Amino acid sequence: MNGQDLTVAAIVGLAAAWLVFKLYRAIRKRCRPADSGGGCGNCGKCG
Amino acid sequence: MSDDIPPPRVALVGNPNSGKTALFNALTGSRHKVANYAGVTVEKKEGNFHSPAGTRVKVLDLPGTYSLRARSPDEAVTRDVVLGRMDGEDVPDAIVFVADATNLRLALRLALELKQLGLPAILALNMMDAAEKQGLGVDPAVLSAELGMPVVPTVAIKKGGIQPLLDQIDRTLQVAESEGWAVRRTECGWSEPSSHQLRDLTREVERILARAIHAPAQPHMATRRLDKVLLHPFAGLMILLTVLFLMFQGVFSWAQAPMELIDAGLAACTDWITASFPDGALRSLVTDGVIAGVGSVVIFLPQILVLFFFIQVLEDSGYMARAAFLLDKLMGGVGLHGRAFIPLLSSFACAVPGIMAARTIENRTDRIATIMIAPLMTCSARLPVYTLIIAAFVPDHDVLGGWVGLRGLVMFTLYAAGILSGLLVAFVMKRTVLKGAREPLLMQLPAYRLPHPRNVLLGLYDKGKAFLMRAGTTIFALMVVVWFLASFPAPPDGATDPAIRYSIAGAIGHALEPLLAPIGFNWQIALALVPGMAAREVAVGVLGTIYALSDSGDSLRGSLANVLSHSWSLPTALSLLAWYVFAPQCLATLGVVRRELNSRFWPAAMFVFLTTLAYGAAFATYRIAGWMTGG
Repeated sequence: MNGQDLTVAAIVGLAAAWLVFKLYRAIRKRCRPADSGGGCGNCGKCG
Repeated sequence: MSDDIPPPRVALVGNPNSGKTALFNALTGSRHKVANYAGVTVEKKEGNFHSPAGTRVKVLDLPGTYSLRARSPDEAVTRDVVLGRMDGEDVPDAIVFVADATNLRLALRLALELKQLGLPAILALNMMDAAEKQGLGVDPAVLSAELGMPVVPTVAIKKGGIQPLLDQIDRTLQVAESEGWAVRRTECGWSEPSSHQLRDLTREVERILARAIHAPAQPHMATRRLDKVLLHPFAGLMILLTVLFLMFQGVFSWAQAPMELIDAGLAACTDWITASFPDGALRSLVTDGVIAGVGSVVIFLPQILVLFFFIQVLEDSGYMARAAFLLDKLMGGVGLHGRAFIPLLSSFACAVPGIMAARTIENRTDRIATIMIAPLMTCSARLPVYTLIIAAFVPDHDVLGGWVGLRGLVMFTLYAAGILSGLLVAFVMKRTVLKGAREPLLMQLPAYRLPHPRNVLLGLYDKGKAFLMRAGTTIFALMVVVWFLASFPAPPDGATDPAIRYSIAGAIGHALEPLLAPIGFNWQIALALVPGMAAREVAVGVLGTIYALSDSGDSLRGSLANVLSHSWSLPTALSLLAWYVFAPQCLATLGVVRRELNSRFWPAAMFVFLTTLAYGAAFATYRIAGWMTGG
């Protein structure tokens, strides 16, 4: 594996990790439903 | 104030469209959305500022309400915060009551209700510039004496009167603290007023108005004159259609030059990288993955900005509320509540805030019906998909005597198809699973205003930034992964097909192809739809990468549209357009439906019925177009 391939592997690995992290955060969202008052509006998780 | 004592909390309360969010932005330096119609804010927002005395103050921006007798979920948020009924939150330490100086009759009713709570309060007499223009003489001193609270004139959108308001907040908090308010109240006593009390309230409002306001002998007529034309049942509708039509023509014609510039920039980048770097995986990742993929999405930035420019100007001018009024009869005909217009309109930007805006609808079945059809309104993420296919398959001709561009006309038709199918779905739902009596629309029409250039530019900046941020993060990461899946494993020795045919992505695409072959989709489209669930425009990026890897690499430097026009048949292209009108290809939308309705059933039902509609429409389009073109 040469330097170019290592760079590519690192970029692909980071991109995949970023997507997994995003997916995890999306699943872990815990905003209150609208009927109990909605979110605070600060974190953006409510949309 | 020591650090362990929580900062004092000040709540901004007022009627819808009185300028609470503009004031919140002016106090905190935030840039939350403001517009000239009711119902923009549907949830509580929090921010902080430092008062002139150096106190850190927490400020709450609450949804607009006409009374503490909340009827809709957004109004209930305001009532619960003010009364201390929100879980884990005390009563605010002070209230800044934001009143539209041009419409004090409604504002004073709420002000008197709030006064009865006995909370320290300040009246921010907002939009004083508009009141002066209308010749309305409002006497802050008389108002202050009558209401028993300090009154500060403001023009929040221009940050006028903010310093005096900050000074007054300081004084009010100091007085409140000295009177023992440092010990927080956990709940405010309040009971729903009787009809007798409401009549007394109305009489009191009229008495105060007679003392504090001097209306001109000749009332301000500009809004009334404009409304005579713009709200005319026939002329008004024609004007609305013309405005929307011009918007879509503008999306194509105004954005053309900057799009060509971005395209040329991307091509130059590709050329430079190809010439400068040795052939290999890294060069392919940058050119075929990042530039072809992310670039295919970024190129649509000018169109997104043109679309939002129109929307922002129409919102700021006060015309959007008129559009809701004009379409109330049409919406009522299919069983939708008139208040559904603003959520549906917001869905043209993105279904997520649109679905949240449905909180302003009181009746639950009306709210569900609105939420279920919100994804049928064409969101801005569909724009790149539509534009790409239109540019590939619709000739750049003028029609109707050279007045109308054919591409803009097709785009207009696609938007219209989304709207009409949404109305049709609502019609069926309201007569079957979501039966309910129709409630009349009561809405306050705001005065016309010239859009504030700063507000328009900041809105465009935020939209452009959000689009580029998404392209630079999620879409970039997705394109890198798609490139990897489309490049590995390498083809076996002696392989004759393009390398991508032997890759993981190729295998996934070919596995999905039989499912989608009846509607004319090839394996490349099938593959693009999978990551497209994260965001619709990602499908365009994936197509860019797949076709870049399928070819020698030169094709993308021409344009993706050019490649598609040679790779797809017309029935396939039309079928994909039909698919995108209906398909629920957005996980964020399904997630927000789940949260807003607190139910797993409705997002599942939405996914099933929209996918069925999309498949059916694409199937019919593909077959009919195939028959008509002799395919």
